[in-house]
Amino acid sequence: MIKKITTSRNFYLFLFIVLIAVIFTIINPLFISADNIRNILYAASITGVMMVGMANLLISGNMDLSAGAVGCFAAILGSYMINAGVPWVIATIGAIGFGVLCGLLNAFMTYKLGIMPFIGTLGISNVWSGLAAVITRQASVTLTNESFFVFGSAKIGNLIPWAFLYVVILCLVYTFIMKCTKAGRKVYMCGGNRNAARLAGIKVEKVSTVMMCNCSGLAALAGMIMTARMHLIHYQNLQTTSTMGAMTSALLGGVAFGGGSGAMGGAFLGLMLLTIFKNGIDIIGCNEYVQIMFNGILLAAAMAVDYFNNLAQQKSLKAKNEESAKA
Amino acid sequence: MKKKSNFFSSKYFSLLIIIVALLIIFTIWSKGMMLKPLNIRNILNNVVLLSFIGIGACFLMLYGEMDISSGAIGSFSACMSAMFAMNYGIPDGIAIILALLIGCVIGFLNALMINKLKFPPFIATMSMSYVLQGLGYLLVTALGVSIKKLPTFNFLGDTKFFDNLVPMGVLISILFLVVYGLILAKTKFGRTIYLCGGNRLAAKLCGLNPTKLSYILYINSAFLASVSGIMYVARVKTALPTALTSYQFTGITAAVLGGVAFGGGSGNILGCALGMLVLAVFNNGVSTVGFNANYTTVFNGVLLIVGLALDAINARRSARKVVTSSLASLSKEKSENKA
Amino acid sequence: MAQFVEFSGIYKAFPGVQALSDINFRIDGGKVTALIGENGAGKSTLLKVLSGEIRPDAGTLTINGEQVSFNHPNQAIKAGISVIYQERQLVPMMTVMENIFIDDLPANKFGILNRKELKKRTQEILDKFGLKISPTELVGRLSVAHQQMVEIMKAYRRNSNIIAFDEPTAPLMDNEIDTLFKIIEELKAEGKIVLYVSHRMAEIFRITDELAIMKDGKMVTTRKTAETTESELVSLMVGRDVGDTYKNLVRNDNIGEVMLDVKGLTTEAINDVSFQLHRGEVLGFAGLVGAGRTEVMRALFGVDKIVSGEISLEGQNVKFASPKEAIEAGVVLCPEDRKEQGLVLPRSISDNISIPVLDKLKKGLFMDKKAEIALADEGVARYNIKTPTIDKRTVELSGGNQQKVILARWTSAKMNTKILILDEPTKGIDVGTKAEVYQMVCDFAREGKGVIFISSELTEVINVSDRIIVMHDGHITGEVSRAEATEESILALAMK
Repeated sequence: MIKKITTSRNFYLFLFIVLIAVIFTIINPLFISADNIRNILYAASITGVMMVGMANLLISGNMDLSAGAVGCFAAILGSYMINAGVPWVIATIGAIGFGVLCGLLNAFMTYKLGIMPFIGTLGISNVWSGLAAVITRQASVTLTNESFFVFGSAKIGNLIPWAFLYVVILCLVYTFIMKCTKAGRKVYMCGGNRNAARLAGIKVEKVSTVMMCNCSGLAALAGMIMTARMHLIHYQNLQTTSTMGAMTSALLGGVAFGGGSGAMGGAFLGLMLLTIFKNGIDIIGCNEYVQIMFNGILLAAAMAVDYFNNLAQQKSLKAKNEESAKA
Repeated sequence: MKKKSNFFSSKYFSLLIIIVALLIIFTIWSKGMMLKPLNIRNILNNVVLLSFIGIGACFLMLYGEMDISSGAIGSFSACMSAMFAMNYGIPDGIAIILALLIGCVIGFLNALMINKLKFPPFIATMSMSYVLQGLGYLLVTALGVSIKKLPTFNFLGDTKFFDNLVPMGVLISILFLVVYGLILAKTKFGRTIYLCGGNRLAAKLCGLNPTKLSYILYINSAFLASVSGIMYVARVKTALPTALTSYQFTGITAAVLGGVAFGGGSGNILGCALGMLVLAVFNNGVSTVGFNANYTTVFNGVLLIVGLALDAINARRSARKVVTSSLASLSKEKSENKA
Repeated sequence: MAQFVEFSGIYKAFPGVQALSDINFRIDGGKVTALIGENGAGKSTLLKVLSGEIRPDAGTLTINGEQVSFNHPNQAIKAGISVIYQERQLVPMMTVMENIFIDDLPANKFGILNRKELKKRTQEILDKFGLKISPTELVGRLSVAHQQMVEIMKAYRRNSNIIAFDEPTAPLMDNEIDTLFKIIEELKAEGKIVLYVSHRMAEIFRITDELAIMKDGKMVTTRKTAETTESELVSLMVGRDVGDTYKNLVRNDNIGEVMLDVKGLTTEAINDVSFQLHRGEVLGFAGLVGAGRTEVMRALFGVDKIVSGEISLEGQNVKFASPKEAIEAGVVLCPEDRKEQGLVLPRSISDNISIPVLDKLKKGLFMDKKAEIALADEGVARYNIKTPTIDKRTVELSGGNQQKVILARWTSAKMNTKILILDEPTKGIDVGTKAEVYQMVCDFAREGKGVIFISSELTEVINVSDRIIVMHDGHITGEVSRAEATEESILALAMK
């Protein structure tokens, strides 16, 4: 039992989170003030919602670099709807719907046009980015809807934002779906061994399309939550930083880049690690650019850890095979 | 056996036609603004910065990979060179050389992550671009570095030929394009890129060294990006950590439009150069007639996707041609054998 | 309930090869039927027709009298067919139990997985197979043998009525083989249809009731296992009318001194391989798929790491660390998979021919286009490559012409090839081109070079080689000269 814990990636992630929280607190005790914790949780919530979609898409063996841009554009559309008098719930659903359509577009590009998802979504993200700037004429879209504001910024006891709970709930729901339902297992199969999945009767293209729509739809939700909290949406919000934040969280958390492994739990811890790290850097006085730098370093570190892990596993597997061959 | 070549039906000709057509359309649309000397110089300046990054992108794409840290490397080198010259009093010529060297080291690190640590190229270069951006901001802040009275930079950036029409940058660009174009088309090294890109394993089994090539290509891409950075500073006289970010994407789009296919199937510097001209003329035209810069981003994204889709459809068509061709030659052989 | 599967009039052709001709074959339930034949006989193709991977050009497949036709392998699975291939189709990062139940996870009506039941049923199967594997272990962490067993348990779990095994015992240990055979006996007792494809005579005589023998894409005959012997089977598998293919072959009569001396070569895949190659000799390497012949050549060529052993080329000790070193020393290899490893398909014939000698085709800083064209022209002419221009992309050539391009590459005027290693050079090539290739091989020997010729086609390896080395399971089982060689004797050695 002890061994199982000490060899689990999540354990080390958790340790790391505690470690850097302690270090930052020592450097600046304000780190664990109620205000700061609230900030951390807010920051985590937007990236977190996007991460849920991204992590699951990665597990299915695909990727989407346009998530942030889609989220921003969808939120802009949603804001226009609210400003035009549409009830915010409907507007949010509309924004999510737009996200889903973007997912369909990505799937069309990948499977019907035959474009590699990596560069295709890179191209499309420019389209949504640019359109966001164009239709808002580079001005923020502000809202005055009070109840929508509550949706984004309500808190429990002034500490835990509801937005953060959305992430937790999403993680739990998706953990359940991915681990405990047939459909969820099929997603893992598609990512783990496409051919085996195909032979088992799984329609890999269909599963991939669903996951792409899921990713973009959740990105749209993230956009709406952010708009709700900030009272406005700006064409430069989200975009690449969010997309990469979501991807880095997932990769830190153990989601393999090629698909087939990893889970929400790890991704969640990865999210917290990334967010706490960013916040800590901010608190101790470094500017946001150091954050950007560390984002890159963390991403590389996550990959490096994976590489050495794989190396070790391959060595032990080889030894196992040689042993059974001798026996 | 003679090669069949027909310039007028080649894709280079179509690209040329497109460039001319764009010029005509935008000139009419902009009531002549398009062809004013100042505007032409703008187009040329853009192409200059695009050219170096585009060459690097072309080479790597032919090998089958992509370097999305070029923009960041270029900006970083720009900042480094300006910083060395202005803040540390290093003679600007040396500062430039140092910045270029730093670029090469960064390229080497990219190749190391990809080849030794088996990082997916996208992730390796993406994290590198983040690190460089952050580092750049740390070193020169968001204000960047402005340069004053630096002879080498001024030489590179301000010299103009042909009655103030053609900037020095254009000459350097053309030089690089010609040299790299020749390298790609006519040397063993260039051939190696196509071969390793087409089938890495087969190339290795024939005695080539794809890993060594990978290192060279990433270092080269970073070096070229740094050249872009230096040229930028030389002309604009300010170095910002995000100076060349937009050129990253445009470089790849230019290569795709120019017919460069992933994996060594086809593509060369000439096509790439034409693709760059198409893009530069297009982008300039779009802004000259009054669209703001964001429309350019949208159109570039669309152009990239259209270019990729055409590529993919082409590949499918030639795959079908292969099947029918091999069946045809097979039945031809059978009938010849019977005879 | 007497079940049966019947193939009627099945034909299947691939570019250059008629893989199956007029197969009429009935397999009954309640017994184990073996499908045997040498490499290229058509066994794998027939299995692929059964499993739905391939559609036949003509003919029908019926199950219990009803005709079936599959557009997708999954349809075959639903029809009750399970084929267990040598390449495992498992999801490595998922558990044993999820892999075994991959297409039928137990769940309630909302789709929620019933973990408990999944684990219980998996444990039942594991117990039945007597395996000490945990149902929750990740498949990727199992040994190769255990992964194979998971694949077999998957088919067992499907309760398929038709189960085909393709060389299932290759990675298994003795006790695991016993378990497997126990299971097969049970399947038989339940009236299921069991097809067993294998080269291992001992196993065939142990577990099967009937045998079907294939040769050159045709069904030769069937026998009852109890009423035949190993030597009768071997002679049924071989013995064909060789025809004119080899009648006009001009061989080299002038065989010289030892040019390559290999002693005790051992790598991960082969064990203590020793042989000699003489100048002007065509040395054949026979054996069945997986015997280790390719691995020997990969070690010689500098691709695989050598654990121990010595290689001496023309009296000098050599150990190539990379293909480049081997090529420089004059040792070249035409790989078995010409598309994946031999050619850069998107590039032209000319480009492919010049790859190893690019350095020698330079004029100053640049490539010498004229010299390249001359080299390619010479290769195309010498090997009679059928193409309108040397700029044609190799992906558009037929298999035979593709092979010729590879041969042209290694024997071009700028190469100083001393030893030519050919790994299955006539795979997927039509008869006419095969004859051309044989003559080229002999011509090369006549120039005083050495040729190593790997082939799984017995007639070919016997008629083209001067001497034949037979391998099995990573080591050499015998050596025969052409004069003494018969297909039976070679096959017997290959299966020892």
